[in-house]
Amino acid sequence: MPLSARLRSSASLILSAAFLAACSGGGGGGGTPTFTPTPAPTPAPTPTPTPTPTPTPSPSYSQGVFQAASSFADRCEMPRSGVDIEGTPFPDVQGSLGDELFWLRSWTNETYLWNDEVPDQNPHNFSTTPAYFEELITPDITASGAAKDNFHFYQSTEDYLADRNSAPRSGYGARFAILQSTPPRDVRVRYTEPDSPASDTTGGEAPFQRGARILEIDGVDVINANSQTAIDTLNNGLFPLNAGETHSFTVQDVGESSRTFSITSADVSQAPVNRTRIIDQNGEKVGYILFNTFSPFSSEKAIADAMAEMADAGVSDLVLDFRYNGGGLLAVASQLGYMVAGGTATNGKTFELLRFNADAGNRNPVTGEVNNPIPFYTTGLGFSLASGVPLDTLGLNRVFILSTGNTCSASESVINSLAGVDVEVILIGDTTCGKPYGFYPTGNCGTTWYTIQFQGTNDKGFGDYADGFTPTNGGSAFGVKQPGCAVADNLNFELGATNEPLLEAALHYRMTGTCNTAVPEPALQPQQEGPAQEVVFLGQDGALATTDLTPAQEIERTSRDLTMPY
Amino acid sequence: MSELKLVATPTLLRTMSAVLSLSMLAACVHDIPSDASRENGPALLVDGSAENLDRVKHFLARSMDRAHIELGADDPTLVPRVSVLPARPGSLENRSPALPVVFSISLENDICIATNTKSGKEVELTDIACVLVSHGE
Repeated sequence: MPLSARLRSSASLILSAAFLAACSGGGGGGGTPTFTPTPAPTPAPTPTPTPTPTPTPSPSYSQGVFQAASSFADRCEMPRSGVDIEGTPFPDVQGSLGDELFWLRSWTNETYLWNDEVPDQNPHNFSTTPAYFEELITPDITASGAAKDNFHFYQSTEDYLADRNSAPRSGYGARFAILQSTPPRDVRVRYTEPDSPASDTTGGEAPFQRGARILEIDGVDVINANSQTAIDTLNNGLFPLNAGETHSFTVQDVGESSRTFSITSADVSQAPVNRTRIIDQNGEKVGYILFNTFSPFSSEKAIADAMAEMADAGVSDLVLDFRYNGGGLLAVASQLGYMVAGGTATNGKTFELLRFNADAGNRNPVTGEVNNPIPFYTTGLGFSLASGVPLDTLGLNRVFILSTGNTCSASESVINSLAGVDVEVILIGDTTCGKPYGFYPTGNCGTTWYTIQFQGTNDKGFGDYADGFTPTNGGSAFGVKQPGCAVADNLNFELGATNEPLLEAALHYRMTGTCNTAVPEPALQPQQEGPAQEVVFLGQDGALATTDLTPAQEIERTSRDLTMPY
Repeated sequence: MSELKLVATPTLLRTMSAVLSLSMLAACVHDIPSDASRENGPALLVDGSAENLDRVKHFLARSMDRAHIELGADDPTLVPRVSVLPARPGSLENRSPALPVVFSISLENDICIATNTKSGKEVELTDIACVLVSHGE
């Protein structure tokens, strides 16, 4: 089933995405991820219909001839009236389905990165915009055989605006890894947010600790319970809908006996920088930063403060832990690149050039502005750090980056852009997600469309890493090789601890230039015993079971594989 | 949810002190001879209150054709500029080129002007008090 159809109602998908599944026969424990298709619900009509639509003439089609998208924009079959939740008046005027289809066609032709690879099909042959949008994509594949474009999707504009204006989510500040969502379930703590209920040590020890296995929630057996009532109890406890809910948990910490505690949910925001460490290795200081997101505006100040701490400490090497960092603001990624490499290495260099389709020339076809390269920003930009404030630098000629398949987009941009100015990037962990692409979500007639519009390239003009970056000794045949070591994430070790396998491998490599571990086997099977390694998330009956990412992030993560039905 | 109480925290005291200082500064500006008051150059907002910043936001939002804006980290009572945050990226935008828009603030013929540093477009901050940046700032 094409992705875009699956994402037609992201609200319902998001709700289903975060919950545990019942055991309904077969599949749950297998090595292959299984997703049961969920019928795409009819989209909720957000517009207020105009009482008596006036028919408008449908545009005429001529193969290879494209009118400006602006001539069809906001001409809607069902125009909305009033204002959106941000207070912006809807721009809609009465149009037709044909106008909406022709807008998609022209907008794709003007802005899609691979516009010359899209077969030009007559919009009149399609009865819905989603059906047509699914065809407005390159049919090509990458060297690995994956679809060249795995990021082609849409959601209702109402959902899009609600998402970007959403308040912090209620929860405990614990990120759970659901290694198996059906009985016998295996739910572990991946990490906790600082200053959250999950990490509150007022009572002695933090309630949730990385690697702990959740055994019971509100008296219900997490591992084996299988009635709907019991599963509802588990979901309500794991994912409290509101702040102020108190639930009891029985957990088993790594290597410990079980313990029971009560914890009350709160509104918790993700901390961009989760923690920092200064590690003394043979008399030299090595910095460590667990940087989990470039997305919130607060990430600018958070990473600047962390790097200032590294500079103050006089670190001679830096380990950036990006294993759970799915990306965000390119500008903050650029600032981080500058702070790592310093002014000498980056002066006059390009952090990233956004490469658009050939027809765009030197213009950004979305904004219409001249397409200037993104430099290595040397000062605050005003997100959360005052503009013009000089950033601290380390002036390193190498950096260690810890990665997994969740290391994505703007995080990969840091890897690529530092490599582009000859900073050695040593990759420890797993192959990154492989997303050198970006888009400007664009709304038309109540739907927000995502189509790849640019590819980020570094100062050397390189940006072809659709199969990710991968450590030299890893098993990936197609990722872009970086020096480093393939190491599996292991929940049994605390992040930032020197015996945590990825950090340990980085420190070992730092001293010896070699890897201290054998290449790990692909971690596709749930681990019922032994190390709690990361695995493919499992789910069925429409329930995709994971909470390590936001539901929307999870949609994108899974959306990369078009062969996986929901 | 903790009860909201007004207490004399160090932050509040600093804020009150700053407001008083700026009020005095505004009074001084008012007394500047007319020749000096027509001097042009980078300027600071006199009043950093939420109400005044809301009025600034109103003018800037209108110039940017946006219904609603949020100001970034710059404090226009301390530096002659103000940043406007981009629309917050959605959670699926993990490679966002969004940037704040920075406006420089200047006083020109007794009128406070905000200039979009990217486009050069000027916005008159009507009835918003500014004071020239003093030498050395």
